[in-house]
Amino acid sequence: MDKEKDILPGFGTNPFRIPENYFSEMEDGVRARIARKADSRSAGLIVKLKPAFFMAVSFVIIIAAGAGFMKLVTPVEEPSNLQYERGFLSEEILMPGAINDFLYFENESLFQEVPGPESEYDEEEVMDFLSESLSMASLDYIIMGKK
Amino acid sequence: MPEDKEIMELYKVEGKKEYAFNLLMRKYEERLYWHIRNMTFDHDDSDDILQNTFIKAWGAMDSFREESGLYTWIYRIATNETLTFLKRKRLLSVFSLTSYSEVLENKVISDSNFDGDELQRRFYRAVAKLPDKQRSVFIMKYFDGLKYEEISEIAGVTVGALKASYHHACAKIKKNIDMSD
Repeated sequence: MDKEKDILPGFGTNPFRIPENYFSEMEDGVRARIARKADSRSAGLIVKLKPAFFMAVSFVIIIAAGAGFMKLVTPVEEPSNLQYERGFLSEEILMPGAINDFLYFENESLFQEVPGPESEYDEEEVMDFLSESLSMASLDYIIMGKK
Repeated sequence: MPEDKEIMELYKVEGKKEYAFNLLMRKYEERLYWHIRNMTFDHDDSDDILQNTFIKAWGAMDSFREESGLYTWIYRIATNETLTFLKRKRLLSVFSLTSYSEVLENKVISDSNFDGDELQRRFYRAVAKLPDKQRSVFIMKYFDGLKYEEISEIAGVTVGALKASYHHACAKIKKNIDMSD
């Protein structure tokens, strides 16, 4: 005789009911779930990778769209050869007390194409113009440099 | 109904795995269901846990080493599934005004599938008030009629601790029934 069970008297029959045919339906449910699990496991690698593939494509599209947008809103940089010329010229022409005003107005013309033999400017006129603004030392350097 | 050893031998035969598993289900479904039902006091929750138990058993049968009996093994799965379920419910009930113990008591009170008398209802309400692990020990001993050694194997607790736990559970239940008179 179970001594411990004597502490509490028995409470008769099981008072809870269960739905009719419950256990056979439960077995069917378990078998269906096991079959579904087996089917999903046997699905090909491609099917399994599909979600990851589509996610990767989405990321690429988002990044490309972002890069395109950034390109549109970013200001255009100057061509690199003109930057070089500006740097070169500033060494020779922007001397102390020199022609900052002249360069401010004439910078654009300095970066235009070098006039060829068909130039409409008279050399004497150019020299007169330059001599008004540049010091003698700077002018000699330019002339000597050209020669 | 075949013995556990026969079921396991059948399981190892090529093409007979599912048949052996069906035999296992048929043999233990009712006992496991009532074990779970006495823990959760809810048919739908018990159904979910029972199905999860068998699906886990199916997944683990290949690695079952037969060191313990088949019934002990599947019983342990069912008990762990139930305790995990209850733990999750208790954690979620932290955010509500009602404790999960009260929820369990209310399930006994309001269960439309309960056909017992008032004394039985008081008894099950008292059982519902026990802590989950103590309740599982009480149910295995009182309702399922398992020996302490079997419960020890299932719960991983010493026989001495189980005896103390069961004795206290009985005293608590008796007190709760008397108090509600």
